[in-house]
Amino acid sequence: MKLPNICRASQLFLATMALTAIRLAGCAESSQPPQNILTPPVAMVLTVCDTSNETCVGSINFSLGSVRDLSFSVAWQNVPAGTHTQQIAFVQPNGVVYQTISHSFAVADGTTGSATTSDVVPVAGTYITQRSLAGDWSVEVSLDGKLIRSEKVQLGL
Amino acid sequence: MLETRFGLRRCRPSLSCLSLVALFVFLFLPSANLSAREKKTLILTSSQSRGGDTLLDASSGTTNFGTATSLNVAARSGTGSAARSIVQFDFTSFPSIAVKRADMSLVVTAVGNKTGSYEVHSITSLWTESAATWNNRVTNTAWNAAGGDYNATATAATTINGNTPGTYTWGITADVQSWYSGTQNFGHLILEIPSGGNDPAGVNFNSREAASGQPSVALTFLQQVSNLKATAGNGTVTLTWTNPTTFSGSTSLENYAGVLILRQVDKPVSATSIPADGTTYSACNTIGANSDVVVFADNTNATTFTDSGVCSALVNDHAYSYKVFAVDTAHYYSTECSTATSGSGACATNASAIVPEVIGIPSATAATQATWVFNTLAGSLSAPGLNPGASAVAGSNTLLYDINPSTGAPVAPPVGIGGAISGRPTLMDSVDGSLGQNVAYVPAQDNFLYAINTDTGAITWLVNPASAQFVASAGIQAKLFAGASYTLPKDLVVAGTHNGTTTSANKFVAVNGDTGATVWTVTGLSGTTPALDIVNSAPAIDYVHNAIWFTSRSNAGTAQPSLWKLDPVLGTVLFTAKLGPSDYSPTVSTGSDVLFVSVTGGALYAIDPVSGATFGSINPGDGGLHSSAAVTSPSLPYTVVFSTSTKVWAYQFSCSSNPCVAGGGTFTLLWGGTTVTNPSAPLTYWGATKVYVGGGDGKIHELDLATGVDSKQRLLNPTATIGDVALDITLSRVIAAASDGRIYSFAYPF
Repeated sequence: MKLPNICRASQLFLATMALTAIRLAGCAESSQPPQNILTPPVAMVLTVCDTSNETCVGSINFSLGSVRDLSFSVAWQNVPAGTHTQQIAFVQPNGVVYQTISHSFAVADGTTGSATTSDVVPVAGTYITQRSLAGDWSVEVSLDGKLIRSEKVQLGL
Repeated sequence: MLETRFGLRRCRPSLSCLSLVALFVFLFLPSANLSAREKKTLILTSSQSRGGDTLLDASSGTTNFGTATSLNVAARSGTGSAARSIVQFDFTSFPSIAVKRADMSLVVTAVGNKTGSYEVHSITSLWTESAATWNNRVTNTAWNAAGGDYNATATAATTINGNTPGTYTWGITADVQSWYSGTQNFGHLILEIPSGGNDPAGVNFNSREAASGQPSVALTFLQQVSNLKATAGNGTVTLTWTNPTTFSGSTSLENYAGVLILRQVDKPVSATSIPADGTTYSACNTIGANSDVVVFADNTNATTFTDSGVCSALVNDHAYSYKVFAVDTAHYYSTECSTATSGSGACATNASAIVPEVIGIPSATAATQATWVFNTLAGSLSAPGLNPGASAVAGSNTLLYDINPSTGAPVAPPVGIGGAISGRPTLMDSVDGSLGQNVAYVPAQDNFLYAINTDTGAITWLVNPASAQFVASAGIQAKLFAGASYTLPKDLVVAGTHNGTTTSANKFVAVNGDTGATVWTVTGLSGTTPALDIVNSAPAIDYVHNAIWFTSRSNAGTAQPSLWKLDPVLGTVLFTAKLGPSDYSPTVSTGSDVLFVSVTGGALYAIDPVSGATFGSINPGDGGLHSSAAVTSPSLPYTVVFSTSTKVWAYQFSCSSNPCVAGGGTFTLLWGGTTVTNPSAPLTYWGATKVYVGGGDGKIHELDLATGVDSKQRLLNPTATIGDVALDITLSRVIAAASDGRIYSFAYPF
């Protein structure tokens, strides 16, 4: 069953890391003068949806009585080339971790450093609904072991 | 032996239970030498069942080198042609240690002519030695990124000279500490950084299959105390424990001095409360953001401490949590913090997570303390699977724990699984299972179904039979107990999928219990099979009628089936019923003459297991059914106990005729509803006089089976929700997990 109000457009997170680095190019033999190259900061957008809602573009409020499962889509930008591991921790209202999901992805050299991941945490029929574990849950997104963002998701009765 | 839904198991009159106990004898015989920091080298050998190593070669992307005696690492001209190697150590023999330092050594036997920098990275996805290749991590499953999924930040780097074979070492302390603090141990990947340019040969090092010079890790560590117990009195709590003794073969660096004990009230001591190495503490100091209180700082090798209100008086009927750190003469504490010359080095985030803890609840009237508390580092309300008296196996997040149910000590380090475990592990022992080993069958949210040897923690097999998540526990049809009509040669492991993106095309799979090979699959809306919504509970095995029963959701209505009966041999759908959505396991009566089915928020149905006809139903209100039914009595009439939103009920189910006929069954209220805040599924069994229920009030409730009176409770954590309970009928222990990330054990009856 779809909720009429859970599809309001919302970009939950637009996180930027303080990863701005300055690379000095050139050397003594270079014919070009030294110049500063600004590395764009890593950015990410997290979208949380009820998987039963095909048109959902993100929400932070869900009803335990109707939610199916929660999907966590993360769109990364400006991630350095290489292999990376994203971890999503779904944390109970009491602050204790409920589940973590790790997701590795590769960023190729010479690209804009974009990558998108999608993971699902089952909700319907689990102990979350069986025991009505309502409240303000947290979604903590880490990249390569560093916490990037923590946001609340409300599971209401 | 078989395990029933809630934790009881029928131990056949054989030596099987005793043999299982013998299998879990602690691995080390301690010497008399008391020491704290000790050092021991762990060698990765081919005989170890956990861990492994292999080569990932981009130029042979589908070739597995798991049995190779030498492994290659080379940058070559780029990632597309590189060779990397992966190594995972087996820490089974160190189930409960605080790691101060860990250095991995590899014996390099051949080098090219180029000096290079070789990095080790922690691996972030599960792999198997026998299947991992450059492309795949396990059979038919690719790495997320070809060449291995690993942390982008190198754990360590070592330069290997282009003309100097020998032993090279990488510091992996932080990773090993992390493994002992709740992160899965998937080992390390070794690569040569490509920025050094083309290095066609790279280096070769000995694998664990080599005759000598295998990979090794030198560990510096403290052991944890063991046998920690609390005994509560009137305004007091007395703790007792056993101090560690040096492992055989260890080098002792300092002598063991005593313990430091932290206390907290009505919530656990924080895993981030970390006494600093090199620091001396006094009573009433506080540590961490949780302000956990030092109540005992001992340097006399004491093994007991009575808290009569150190720093502040103990208030009766409150839960006092204690965490006991071992400490040595140099004031190193048994935390996951690195060795430092002054003060603590770098610490894992939850550096005191696995330090033994216990709760005591002072009382003026009765002793109510837990026999043990075990920190699983994540909240799960699933009861552990039990091998009574021998093993309690619990899944929490992505880790599977094997706990000694007598002491609460870990039998081995947890097993890292590729996805979260939602249900209760289903156990089969070596005597009764066709696999011939003590095994836990674990469906997980990474779409895999695992068979894990509970003696060693080794993954016996893993399969991805449906490409969909599992939430429910598995069921087992044991060949040994099946009738003649069960013609399959081995045990059958069955489970339903939770693919939330479809309300009609979920699957129910059956695999060979010995190999994981798919025997059959039932897919919703395939052929004549009706629509199948998500499956959230364990199946029930009806040995008398050779049938598998399971429940499902039904697209939020009664238009499609929610009760299913399958032929275990062929997977044929024998019967379905449109009762309304169910998240709870069906229960077969003791005499296999009635099947009880709970509809979520609806009624409890009594079903004829032969025809599928409904004998009768009952819905007492209060939001309808919120649990499976626990069935007592050996034959009709049956006493059934179940929960609704806020109450627990007992009904007697009887029939007007024998055998019962459709519509001929009657539910008669015995008692109820007994109010229990947000109750779990109740647990009782034939011959018992009590019913046990986990509550949303942080307590396990003991109800009288005859009257329903909630006469006694045990407080675990007043801010936690208590999950389904399990009963170890050998030890007389009731065991339950809580939303605070702990598993608690209490003696019963209360």
